[in-house]
Amino acid sequence: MLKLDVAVIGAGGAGLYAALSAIKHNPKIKVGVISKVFPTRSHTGAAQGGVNAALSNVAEDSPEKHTYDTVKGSDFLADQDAVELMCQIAPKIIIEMEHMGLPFSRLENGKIGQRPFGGASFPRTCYAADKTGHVMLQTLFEQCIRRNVRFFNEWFVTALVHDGQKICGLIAIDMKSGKIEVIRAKAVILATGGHARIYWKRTSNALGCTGDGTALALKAGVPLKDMEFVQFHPTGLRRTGILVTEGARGEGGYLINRDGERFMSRYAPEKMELAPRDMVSRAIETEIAQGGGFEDEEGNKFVFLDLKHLGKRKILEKLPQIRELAIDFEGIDPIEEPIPIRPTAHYCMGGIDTNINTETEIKGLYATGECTCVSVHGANRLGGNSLLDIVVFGKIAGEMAAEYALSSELPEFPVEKLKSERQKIESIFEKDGKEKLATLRNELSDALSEGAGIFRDEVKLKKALEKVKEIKERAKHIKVEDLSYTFNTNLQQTLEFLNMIELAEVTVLTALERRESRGAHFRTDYPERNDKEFLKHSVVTLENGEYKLSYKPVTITRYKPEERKY
Amino acid sequence: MKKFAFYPGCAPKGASIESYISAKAVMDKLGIDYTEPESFSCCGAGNVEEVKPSVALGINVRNLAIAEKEGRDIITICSTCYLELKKAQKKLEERENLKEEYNEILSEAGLRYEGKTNVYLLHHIILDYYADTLKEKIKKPLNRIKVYPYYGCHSIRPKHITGYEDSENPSSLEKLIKLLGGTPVSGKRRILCCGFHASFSASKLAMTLTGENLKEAHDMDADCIITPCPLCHLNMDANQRKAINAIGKKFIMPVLHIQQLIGLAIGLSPEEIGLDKNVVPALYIV
Amino acid sequence: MEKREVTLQISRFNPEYDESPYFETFKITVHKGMTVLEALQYIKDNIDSTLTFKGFCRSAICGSCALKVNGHPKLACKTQIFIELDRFNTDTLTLEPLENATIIRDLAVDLKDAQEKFEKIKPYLIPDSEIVPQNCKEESIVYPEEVERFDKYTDCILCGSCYSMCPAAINFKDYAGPFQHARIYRFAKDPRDGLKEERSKIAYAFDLWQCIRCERCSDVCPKQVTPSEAVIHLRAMSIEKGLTLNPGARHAIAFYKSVISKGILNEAIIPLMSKGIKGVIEEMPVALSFLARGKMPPPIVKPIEEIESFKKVVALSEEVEL
Repeated sequence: MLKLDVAVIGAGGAGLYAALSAIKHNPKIKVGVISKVFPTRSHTGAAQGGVNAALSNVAEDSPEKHTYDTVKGSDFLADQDAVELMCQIAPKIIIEMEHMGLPFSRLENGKIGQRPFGGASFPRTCYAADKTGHVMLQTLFEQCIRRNVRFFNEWFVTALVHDGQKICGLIAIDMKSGKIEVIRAKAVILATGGHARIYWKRTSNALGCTGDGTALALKAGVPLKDMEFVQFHPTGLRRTGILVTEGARGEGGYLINRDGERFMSRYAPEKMELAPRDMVSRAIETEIAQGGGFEDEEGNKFVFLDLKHLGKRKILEKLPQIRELAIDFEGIDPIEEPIPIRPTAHYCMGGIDTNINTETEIKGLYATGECTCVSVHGANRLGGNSLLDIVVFGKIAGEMAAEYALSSELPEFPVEKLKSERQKIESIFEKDGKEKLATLRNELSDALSEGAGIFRDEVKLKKALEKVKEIKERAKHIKVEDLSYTFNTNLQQTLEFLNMIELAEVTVLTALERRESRGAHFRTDYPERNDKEFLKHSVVTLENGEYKLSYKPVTITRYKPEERKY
Repeated sequence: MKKFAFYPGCAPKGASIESYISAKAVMDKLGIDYTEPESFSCCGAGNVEEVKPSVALGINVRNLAIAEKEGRDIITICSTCYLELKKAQKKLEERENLKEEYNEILSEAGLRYEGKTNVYLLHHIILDYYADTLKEKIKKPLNRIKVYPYYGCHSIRPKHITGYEDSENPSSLEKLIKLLGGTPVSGKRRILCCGFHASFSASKLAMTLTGENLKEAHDMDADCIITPCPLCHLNMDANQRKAINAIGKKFIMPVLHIQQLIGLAIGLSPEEIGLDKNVVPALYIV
Repeated sequence: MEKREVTLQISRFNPEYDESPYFETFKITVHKGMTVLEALQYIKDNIDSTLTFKGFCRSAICGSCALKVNGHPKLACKTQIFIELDRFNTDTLTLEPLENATIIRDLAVDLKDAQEKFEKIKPYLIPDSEIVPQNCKEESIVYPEEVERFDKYTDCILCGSCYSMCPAAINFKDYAGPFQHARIYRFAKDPRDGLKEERSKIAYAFDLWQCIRCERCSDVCPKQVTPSEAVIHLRAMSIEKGLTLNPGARHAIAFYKSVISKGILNEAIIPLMSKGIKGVIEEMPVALSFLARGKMPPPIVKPIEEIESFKKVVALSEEVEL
């Protein structure tokens, strides 16, 4: 049995920073990173626009202003102490990464460039052209090579193991051999990313963004927080939902409707295209619903993102990657034509409930990154804050886990958990196969998009909840038909789907119960924000196979909730 | 009428003199309007770049500027010259401030580079602008002889720099062969490297690669190989014996420069196209 | 919407019971814009759930899905089937795993050899204490024109396409590989790096001169990183650092000296200058065949016209930092 001091599950920005921090904390610590994909494949690499910090390189800025913008952007649901901490640390951690070699785009004076982003009162999004996530991920991976971090690549974690109080380790499938392996660990850090793939057909996310870690935590008894808040990024490519960075609007791009009008003037007259994402997505959906959009042969409805007026030079310099994406995936060169876009499921504000120290209710189990809800993003995340979230809290998780591991003994591993896990996995090969994975996955996507999309109401949500429960039942008939041990992606995709159903149910359930509109969660039947009844986090715990809903207060330090206008 | 500046490079004036002789003969016969600036320099062949990249760029920007001064596009008869000139163009397109720096340098030589010059291989020009003229002038159509079109590397790669045709399934040589009345036999290896530029650093591998290329042409029953590059030609023709020995085979495969095949089809004599200078006997093809 | 019937010949291999890879044929209807990855997922979802391949971001940034389409490495997620059918004028596409890698199963490969070499070449910043501040209060100052020098080399997504087709990587065990050299160069040109041009010594230790300059790597790279340029420039750096005891380096130096003195190459002296007497003797047979055909290059060449201004351009160009 493998033994580690700190096991990090997930090798994106959060996981890698956690691993690096743990090793730097004490080089003697045995750290291992377990990832279901080769580290640089992680979805952090797809982030484009940038990472926020009040460096004041372009305009006089401060962590306080950053905090306020973030809290306001969150529609006042974010825990302000956590936001303050994140915004305070931000400048230092950007510089730390820059010292690691992160190739930021620069100003004429040689300092890190910062661009305007949605919901920000000052340009504070540090960027590397439109590939910030990619270079960040590469830089962190390079540093892991430097520090000889141990990787378990293409290992799919199927269970967290704890003894009721503290974490003991994890069980994973080594995909290449198909063997079920145990890793005993003193501390485990979950950094497994988001689950926007529950909207399978309309998301910017990678195929594997299925929230495995979030589901693992849920099944281990850890509460999930604020799951109803799913961010729809306003500009996803029409056919594929592939992300077109907010930076395109930050550099001056316009959103145009059927009549060539910059319709954002009617929804957010001051900030226009740079209003927060939830507002822009709602604006686009409303425009489309009111007949101001276009429709293609496949039935995709969209509007245009126009960059022509930025000129060839600016596009090639600041937005080269999205130009390639538009050419490759839409057949459009944004230098010549506007890009067809529509909102796409992008980010999960909700996730594993952690405190400001990335701790969960289970001792030794930490969580960081998109799979968590600290909460720093509340009901709506500002662009550029996710890349910040993952490194700030990744670092904290690494240090906390390292500290904890240094002062703990390696717990006993309950071997019967391995037996039961093995049986559980083997049983999926023996189901009757009456239902097909792909069919149910599409049905889940339709149910979520219909009922728990950008505009929600009681009727639609109830219908969605019923449908998800029905899919959950029918999923018991999915059979893994690939009987091989070697790299069985049929098995992996099935397990991922089973995770997705759980998270989908929690999402719809909490959305149903939140009878107000806040941030990304918009109820047409309750269109106003209701601080009196709902200025609180929704919390769901799995108890005896049932979802129990409760609420938790929001930590408010400085900024009293006010009307959110842009 | 399009105007050109003929850029023969170095090999065609020396060890591949027949490529130069035949190119001029063909261009004259087709009535192509070209000058031959004596101030053109070597393109560096990538070797100058391996010692001083900024100098390689400088001498090629100078070459481009010389053509630009005459208001003429450049015709090359060597794939490597072609690529080196196009690389220089691309580099200055991507990096505006480099363009400024080099223009300052060029001004010392009374030259200026604005990026207006186009660079072509001879057969590009013939296909794009002189196809009809060529058809009219064919006196001895190739009678279905099987010709293996060998592109090599630098005439087609990297595609975002060369740009003339697809680098995975190029077809300009096949078109040309058909136009001349021949039958193209296109093997997989027609786009694989002959290894010329590794002649000193990895000579055994280079000979093996060339040998395998020759073998494919032989296995496909080709009567001859044509190539736009005198360097590939050197490897496949002058070094043929070495290459065939490297793969333990024995056969003969005539290798022609493209313009030699064109010359044959339009009725030029073997002397006029320097066919007697090819190392592997090629006179018996037609 | 335009649709076509397409035949996909897909390489299958399961190490548990197959001796070697074989092709299986699938016939499906493809619509315009459909990518190879979408087709693979469709087959897996609806026809054969055992079909195994890698894919993740489906937006050409993660590098998971590189495979061979009709013999050429591509990212499956951004390769449109219609475009490939038209390119090869066919209604059949052949899909195979990347070469020069270990096949795990079907189209999924393990790039571990390439990745191990990557780790060995020190692919991380070693900070120059003069440029990178010791504290976390200030960033290093790097000017935009300095970023321009190495920026495109940071685009590499480690997809392995270049490595799979590189004749040097295939034939020489110790050759680092195109993307590996590209990463070395990325740091060699980063002003914050402590090693800078010294990094060319690492590249040299990994058989830098074995690249045959076929430009295959730069052609197949989905991000246009141009690793071949990195190799060429690292060679120049290594020569600056005095690593010249190598036939490739000697040849390049001989070539360079010849060209800058007369403006054109003196072919006749190249074998002598590059490889010494041994070189002359090796080239004797070929030289004799040239002599016999009256095309022996002359031992002395005439300089080009305007040789003085050429030399001026050379001298001034030396100062330019690329």
